[in-house]
Amino acid sequence: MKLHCENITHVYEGKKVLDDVTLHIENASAIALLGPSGAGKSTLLRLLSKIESPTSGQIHVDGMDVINTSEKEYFKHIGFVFQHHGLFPHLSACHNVTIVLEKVHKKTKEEALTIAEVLFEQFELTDHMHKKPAQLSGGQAQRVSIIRSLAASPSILFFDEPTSALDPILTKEVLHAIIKLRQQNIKFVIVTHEIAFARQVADAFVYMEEGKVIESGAIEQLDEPKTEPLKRFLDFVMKF
Amino acid sequence: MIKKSRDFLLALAIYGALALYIALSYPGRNNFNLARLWPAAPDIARAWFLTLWISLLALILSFVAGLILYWITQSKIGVLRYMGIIFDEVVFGSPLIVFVIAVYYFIAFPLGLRDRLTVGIFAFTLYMAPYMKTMVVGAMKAIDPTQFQAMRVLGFTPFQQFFFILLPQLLRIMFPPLIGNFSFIIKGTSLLAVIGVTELFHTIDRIQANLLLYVEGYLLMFITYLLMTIPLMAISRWVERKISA
Repeated sequence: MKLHCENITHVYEGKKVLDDVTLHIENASAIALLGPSGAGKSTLLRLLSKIESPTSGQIHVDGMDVINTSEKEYFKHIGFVFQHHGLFPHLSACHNVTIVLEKVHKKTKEEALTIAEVLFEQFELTDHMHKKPAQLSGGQAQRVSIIRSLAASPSILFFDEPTSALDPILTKEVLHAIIKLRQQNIKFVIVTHEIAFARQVADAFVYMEEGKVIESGAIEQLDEPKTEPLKRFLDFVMKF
Repeated sequence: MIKKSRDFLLALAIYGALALYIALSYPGRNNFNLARLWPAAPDIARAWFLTLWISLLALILSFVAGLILYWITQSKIGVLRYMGIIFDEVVFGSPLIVFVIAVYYFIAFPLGLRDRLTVGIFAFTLYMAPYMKTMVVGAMKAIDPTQFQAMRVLGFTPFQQFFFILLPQLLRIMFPPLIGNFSFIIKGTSLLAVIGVTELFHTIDRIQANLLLYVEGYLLMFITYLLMTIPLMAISRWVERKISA
């Protein structure tokens, strides 16, 4: 995966949340966006995924000009997993997946169901396929949300702190599911506070503070950070 | 459960005793004869069904009008948004009877619309639209905002978003207030008598005047309206229980 951001500035409600961000990452399969709360990680993720548009600057993801590609076209290539699962509560877990395949990707009912069944099996959720989201645990719902994003075979998945609303046990369930994606060579960008998990799953990282990229590089670089702020951040999080 | 039934029967008995007291102390009680209205039963039945029909049509049309008004008031086009807001204010500030008369004389008449029934339904549709819109606004707020972003990223068109994802949820959320609005419409149809629509109130009013059976007529009016609204409330409670189960 290639990420190229040139002079990205983003102003939200009068506040500069991203300040002249320039970033170049080549040949990464999984990128972790790290940093303290309010650093601008989620905003950068939302810009990379075209959920929001930057106030100024250029973004290219895997050669695609994110700003000038239509939403319809760009969203065909990506999947997004939100902090809260965002499943449709009136539909069963399975129907949450098949409705996207049938209505958006024009698969037949049988094709959609086959794809869904394979994915539910893979994520160990077959027994919960016909439950409504309200009957699922937070971890199960988030995994269904991953399946839904994955069903149409996007080339990149974006995760916005997918475990932030979960307790430690449910967090493990979801992280385990993401590790599986990594083993299948599915490319993704993830905003996470789980440093140990980031080391395990990502091969590149971007560290941000106050709307700026402080440091980025290969994940091994976290062992020997080059900048003082990243060093401080890692020292701080490793204490607990 | 037994206690509940006992309390309900006791409440009914108290109302029954009150009704009996009123009946016995009524000066003309010896002349009271509900059966004398019987020859007019076919007309009353026809008017009862007509009222139900008007109400149903007004409910459906005003729901659609409410959705349109919702889109208008949420529009990014300022003129449209203000048109919606002004319409809201005018309706919320007008008594139904005044609004019906105004629609009849100031809109329908100049446009050459003479059919009173059509005008009545039209007036109700317009009058109820802001109430329906308010209901839609409330229901939309009850939907998790992540769903809106998910629908967009997953690639649903606005049409698909509305009909496959939002509408089924909205209908569940809106069912109780929708029934409340339906009941309001049924009761409100009695005001269509002012423009000469021969609905239930108008029909019984005419019959009781012709037969000089005012007390019987008013009592029958009371009962016939309750025969529409009470089962409606019971159905609403039943569906609510089913939905939340």
